[in-house]
Amino acid sequence: MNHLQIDNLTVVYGAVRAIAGISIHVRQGETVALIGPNGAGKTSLLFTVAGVVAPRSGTIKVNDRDLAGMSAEARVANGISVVPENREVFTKLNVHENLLVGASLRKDRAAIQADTDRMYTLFPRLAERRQHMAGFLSGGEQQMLAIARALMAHPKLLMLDEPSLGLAPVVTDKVYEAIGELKKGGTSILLVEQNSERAFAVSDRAYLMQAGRLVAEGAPAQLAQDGIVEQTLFGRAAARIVGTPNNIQVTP
Amino acid sequence: MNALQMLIDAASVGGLYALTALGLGLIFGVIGLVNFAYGEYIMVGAYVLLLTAGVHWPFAILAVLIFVILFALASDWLVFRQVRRAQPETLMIVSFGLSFMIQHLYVVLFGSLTRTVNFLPEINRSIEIGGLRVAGVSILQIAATIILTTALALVINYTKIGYQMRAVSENPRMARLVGVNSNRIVAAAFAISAVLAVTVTVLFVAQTGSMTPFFGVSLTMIGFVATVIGGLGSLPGCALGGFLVGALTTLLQMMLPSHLQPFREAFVFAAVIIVLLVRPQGLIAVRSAWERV
Repeated sequence: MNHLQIDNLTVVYGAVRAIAGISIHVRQGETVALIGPNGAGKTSLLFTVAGVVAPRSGTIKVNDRDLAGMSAEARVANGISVVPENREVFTKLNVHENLLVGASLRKDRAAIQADTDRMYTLFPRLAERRQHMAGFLSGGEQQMLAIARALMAHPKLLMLDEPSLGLAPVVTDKVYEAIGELKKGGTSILLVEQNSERAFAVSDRAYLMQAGRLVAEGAPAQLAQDGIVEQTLFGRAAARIVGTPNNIQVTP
Repeated sequence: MNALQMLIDAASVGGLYALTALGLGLIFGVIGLVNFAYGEYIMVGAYVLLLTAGVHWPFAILAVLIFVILFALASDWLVFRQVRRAQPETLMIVSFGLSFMIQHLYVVLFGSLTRTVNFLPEINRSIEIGGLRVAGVSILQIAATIILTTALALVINYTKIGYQMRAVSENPRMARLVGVNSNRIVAAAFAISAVLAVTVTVLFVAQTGSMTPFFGVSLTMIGFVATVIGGLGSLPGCALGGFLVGALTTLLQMMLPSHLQPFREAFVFAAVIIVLLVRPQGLIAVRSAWERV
């Protein structure tokens, strides 16, 4: 039984087809990368799984349970969390309140307290800033807060949308370190990225997406060697210029 | 009548308007709805007081409280929730429609005549404090304003429902994505605004003893103007705006020469226009954090 099983999913906005009949899956504890250029439909896919975008057709199952008609809140309660592109932290709430909002579905005060402490250990930078309004944090701090906020709900399946977007390399290291920790802890991860090199380094499998369709699927090492990643991201002509770096390190 | 006595009267009316403005401002803050049907919560509450005239007053107030809260929740559930993601102007028109519909339903059921009720005549008696003769209802109005404003500020800033409300207010989609039950949070905001409306109803009816199907609208209009000059979306701004408009109205009532008194509102709204010309964002602009990427 796959943790996440998406079959033949189609999402349409007005006259635009964002996703055209995609089928992907994530196994228990697996980290799967979803790579593609802007407009490929990656974000739409995450939001459809999260329950804030309604699909035109197709099924989404989590642990064999069909999510059709389930509210976004109920999906969080069922262990599905998303860290959106651009973080979307609550800028007018302080860091600590952002974490507490992430625990909205939980009642046990002591456990919530223990979890906020755990987040502050995982991201010491947030501990220093706990009373600051989230809108005043740097991009990297906001990214850490967005991840920590999602973790407060105890997700079993975490979806991250371009966690490295707009971050300095050092900060991206920090974020990917945290993703590595989660992976070790057994969380299933669906990782949307344009930064394929980063994503491949932590992923067990990868899908390439373009214009709402899948163009390739496989082990990151295989995809990286084929040069198909560059073709998908930059187009056939540009791929030759960008070249294929064959020095990508892949975790077994 | 000396200056201090005038100030107390001004503060009591200002308090009533501040509570009205807070009820409007809270709903606007959470879902971006300028709820003109808010006046109908006040009006409906007054008629419940009329119907429960013979009942011992705490029970009458309890009846109003329960009825108006249910009424506000029903208006959200049956009407506003159906258009939750509509544009703010659509929401406002919907609330206008609901407001007119309720008023005219009342006219059909009870007629449009002014009704009078002798509710809690005791609190209209004057009491003497240090040589000042003050109406008991004025003291109650000031006390209710202070208590409810403080309580609301504490709830918004320090409770779970408070930070969830702020989260829904800033980014409703993200709030749902982290598991906030936004329908329940919005319902809570409607319930709190209903409590404010009931307070206004009880104090207003106790003071004037009369009601028409249309008196809620005029209060809401003033409340709305107050929220705009205070800074739409800022609760301290709403309270301040309501307070200033109420106080100004009362002071003009007392200080204008008698032949100008019928035009009191013209002076109030001239002042409002001047405030908005000088500070179009309202007296207290909504504090927004810097966006850093």
